[in-house]
Amino acid sequence: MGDSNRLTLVASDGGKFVVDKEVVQMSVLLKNMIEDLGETDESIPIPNVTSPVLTKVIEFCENHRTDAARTDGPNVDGDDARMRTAVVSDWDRQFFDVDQDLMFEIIVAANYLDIKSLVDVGCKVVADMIKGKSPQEIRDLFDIVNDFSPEEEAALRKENEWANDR
Amino acid sequence: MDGLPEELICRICDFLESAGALSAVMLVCKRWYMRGSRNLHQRIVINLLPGLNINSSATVIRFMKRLVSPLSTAHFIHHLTLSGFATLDMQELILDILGRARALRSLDMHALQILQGGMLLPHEVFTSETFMWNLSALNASSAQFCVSLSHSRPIAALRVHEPMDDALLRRLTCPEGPLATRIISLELALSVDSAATAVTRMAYLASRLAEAPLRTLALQFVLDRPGAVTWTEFEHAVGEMGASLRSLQNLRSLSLVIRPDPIIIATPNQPSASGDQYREVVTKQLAEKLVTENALNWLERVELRWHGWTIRGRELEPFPRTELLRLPHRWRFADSDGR
Repeated sequence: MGDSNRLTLVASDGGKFVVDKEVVQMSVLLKNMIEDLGETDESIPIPNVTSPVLTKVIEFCENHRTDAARTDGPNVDGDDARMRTAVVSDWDRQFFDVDQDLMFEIIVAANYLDIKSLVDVGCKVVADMIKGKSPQEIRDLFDIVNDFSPEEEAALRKENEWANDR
Repeated sequence: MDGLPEELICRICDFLESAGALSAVMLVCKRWYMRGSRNLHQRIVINLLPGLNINSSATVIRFMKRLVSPLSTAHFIHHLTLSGFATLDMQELILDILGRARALRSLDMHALQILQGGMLLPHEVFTSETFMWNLSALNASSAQFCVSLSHSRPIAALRVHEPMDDALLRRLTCPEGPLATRIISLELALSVDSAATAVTRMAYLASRLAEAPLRTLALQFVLDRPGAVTWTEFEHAVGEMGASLRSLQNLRSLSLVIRPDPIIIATPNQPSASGDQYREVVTKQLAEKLVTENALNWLERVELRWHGWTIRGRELEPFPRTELLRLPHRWRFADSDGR
């Protein structure tokens, strides 16, 4: 591979992906790894991420490569607040229109690879799914086991009344 | 989803702004309870309706008692608003909560009425190294309380509603205190005996805050004698204050008020304009004069009496009265913090 602008990533199942260095560097983990390795032709193994998930992660990074420059800027205090109120774009929403297991695997992979923008969009999509649902609906949605006893849950529900009063 | 790392659950909670959604998340399972609880408690608003007492079974009292119980979540609180009516025994409960709110950044209690007198704080809390130690924004009525608290805490935004005398002002802005180097937004009521004293106070304050990153200054000079200053006296005083303001080059918002408000008598040679329009016209002329004659080019907003304008180039564009900093329910910190 003579092209120094491209790198090969190897997923946990052996799937190989040739990607622009610029795109790969949206992952803070891989960016640091590349800097440590220096100029090399070796491919980079990503042991925690399967091919289907890595395909999606790369798709996201390729689409968002142009806004990468923003994240290099100084982190202004208001940044986080703006992110919180920002609406998820149509492209991002469609990107996450996959089955739920894959969606969570993408978010976990993004967290592992340290791709902040993907983590944030993913968590925001999940948060939007949660809004307006009851605790039981949230459990059903995400297949979570309720580990409160009925008495505990009733007591906590009463305690939280003040929050619902607001 | 059960396998989702802790930090991702936190991040999801960060995007759930409403208290209702957070409290639903908390009841999902034990792991989520902890994470949701942290976020739910970052901003707490406690409103005490009249007639409540410490033994009441009202939700708000039960909640306040839980904040001081072994299951206290007070250490999650970053922003606390207290309002309404507190009896003396409730004041003790409030003090206990404040003592446990170790992460508290902002405290807004300007609308809290302590029945049977003002807030009585044991002297040692002011010098305590744990009591609201990181407090950076404070909005309260009592001048004594605010000055004592400001002394050793990193206050960057302060609004004090009760008029402050010269001695308290000097204590507040003493060179050893953090205010002189940290304050970004300062909203004070200052007690004065004349327009001339107001000019002196402004000169003093400007000299003390010349090194501060001060962006907002809102002063209400309150006459401590019956009567009001005349419009001519007010005009003259604002003109004199301009010279002091030149040293505050970080300033973006300025509000100057004398209470009671100077009376402007509409002159008979302005028959077309109503009294109110005329008052706005002369106040605007004064604001323009203040900005241009002193070359206060860095100002973005100016308010005088009952009128306020945003400054665009050489133009002053009025904004609604409801946005005036002089109004008691306004607090610059609350606007800027995106609440």
